[in-house]
Amino acid sequence: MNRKLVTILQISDSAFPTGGFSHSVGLEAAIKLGIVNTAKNFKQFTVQCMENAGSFSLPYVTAAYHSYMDRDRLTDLDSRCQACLNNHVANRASIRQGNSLIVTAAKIFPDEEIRQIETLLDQDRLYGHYAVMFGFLSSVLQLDLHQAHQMFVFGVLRTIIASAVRLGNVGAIEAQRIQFELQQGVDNIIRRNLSRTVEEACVTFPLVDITQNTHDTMFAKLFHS
Amino acid sequence: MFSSTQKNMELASGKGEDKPETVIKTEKSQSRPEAKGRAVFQPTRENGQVVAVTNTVLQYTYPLKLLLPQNVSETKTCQWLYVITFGGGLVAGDNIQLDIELAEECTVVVTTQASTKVFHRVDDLVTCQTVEAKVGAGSLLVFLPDPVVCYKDAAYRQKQVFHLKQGSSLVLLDWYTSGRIARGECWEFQSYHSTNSIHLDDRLVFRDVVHLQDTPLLPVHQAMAQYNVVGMCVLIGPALSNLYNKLLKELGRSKPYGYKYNMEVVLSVSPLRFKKEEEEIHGAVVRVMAFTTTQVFTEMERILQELFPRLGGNPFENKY
Repeated sequence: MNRKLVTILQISDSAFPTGGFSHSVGLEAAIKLGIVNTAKNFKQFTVQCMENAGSFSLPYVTAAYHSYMDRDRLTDLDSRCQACLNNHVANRASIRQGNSLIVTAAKIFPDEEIRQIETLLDQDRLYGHYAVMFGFLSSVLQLDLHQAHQMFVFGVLRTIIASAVRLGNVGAIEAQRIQFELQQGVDNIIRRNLSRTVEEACVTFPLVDITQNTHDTMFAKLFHS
Repeated sequence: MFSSTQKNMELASGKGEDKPETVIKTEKSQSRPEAKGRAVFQPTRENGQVVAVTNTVLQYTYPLKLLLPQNVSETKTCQWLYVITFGGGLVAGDNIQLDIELAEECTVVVTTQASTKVFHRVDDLVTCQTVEAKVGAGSLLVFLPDPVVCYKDAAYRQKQVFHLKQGSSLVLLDWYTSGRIARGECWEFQSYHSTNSIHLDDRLVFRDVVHLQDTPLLPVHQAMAQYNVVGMCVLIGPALSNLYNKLLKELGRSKPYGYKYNMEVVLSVSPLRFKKEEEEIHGAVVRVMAFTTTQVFTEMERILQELFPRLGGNPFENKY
């Protein structure tokens, strides 16, 4: 049995309860604003979010992956992420998902390190930003770094696609076809950001960030962010 | 049946997927020496009250020039510093370094005479600008440059660092356009890289890094669609608390039912909190994306107008 593959499948499954599906990564706001209204600009929107995940979040995933035993370093990364995530909607989503991930993982996986980080979250000594928690958890579960990167970027793509279906903008099968097409870009994004440090972490496409930032101002919304 | 991946990647501009990211060399490989500028401001007191802001150091080297016109502000308690470049633009290899220092209880506006124009890249030289500012307690630095306009094939890198103390206040406007829009030049530069960092008592509390360049999956001009202007305005500190709290309510509240969105100008606002344990808000960051520069000038002028009395005037007057 390929233990790693099965772990990856379990964490990526929509049945893994981390509340990841309550976030649309700014898609709901983009549709409301009229920025996304065709298949073409929907795909462009999604690629922008994936690229931003690559250039902004992957450095944190990598750094946390390499420092999973170093609590001080993890706290530093988490604080730095906090200073950099001044889009409060993205910030909130990151903290929610990061905390959910660790709390859920602590109950499911036997590794003691996870429970230690959960304690830090309980004591408010960590914000629990998603990219940092994700890198940490991947390392504890002994996944390859490349697998962690793939899961992370795939996760952004998958979440946006799922959101589009739930918002009724794309049919389920068409959405999967688009997802497959955009999946081909995942490794390219990872490769280009492999040596990027957290000091160099940046937003590549600012418009989707600003769009997501307006999420709370919508009168009615399906998603938390 | 799914088609081949290359055909489906209609998003790519035809460049090979494996093209390595263009490596942007750092300032150290510039062929031109650094142009350094420095401006220091101190309060002048009479009977314990601050009656004026005095400039005590004003240094600059070519192509940087600093101007301190004495008749722009209607109040002596605020100085206006203009940052100018000879020749009306920056070329590849230019490396501007500007240090600004406000002692306590000073109000200073830093602005430009016109937009910062960046010409096309030559060889592998990049155009760089660095600003480092220290703001003393009780002081307000209002940093309001015109937008950066990168011409076709330009490569620009800027780094702005602000050191605040408890009781310091900062307005930081940082924005850029798609190019010489009237000439139909839209997002045709090679690279725009901007880093803004704010430290409060030596602790990093705010950092924003944007690096706009084509990727093998999506070129910038496609991603930006009809938007030509992007920017952000950070407001931090006690001098601004009425203003940013008002903005958080005004720009952050839910739109009413049936609201007709104007996608030409999109504004967002986020509160800034620097301590986990406290709920206290220390500032706000407003972000904007718009079709035209006029739209952003109008919004920024409207947003900051309640500061104009303290500044002794409207820095946006005659800018658009």
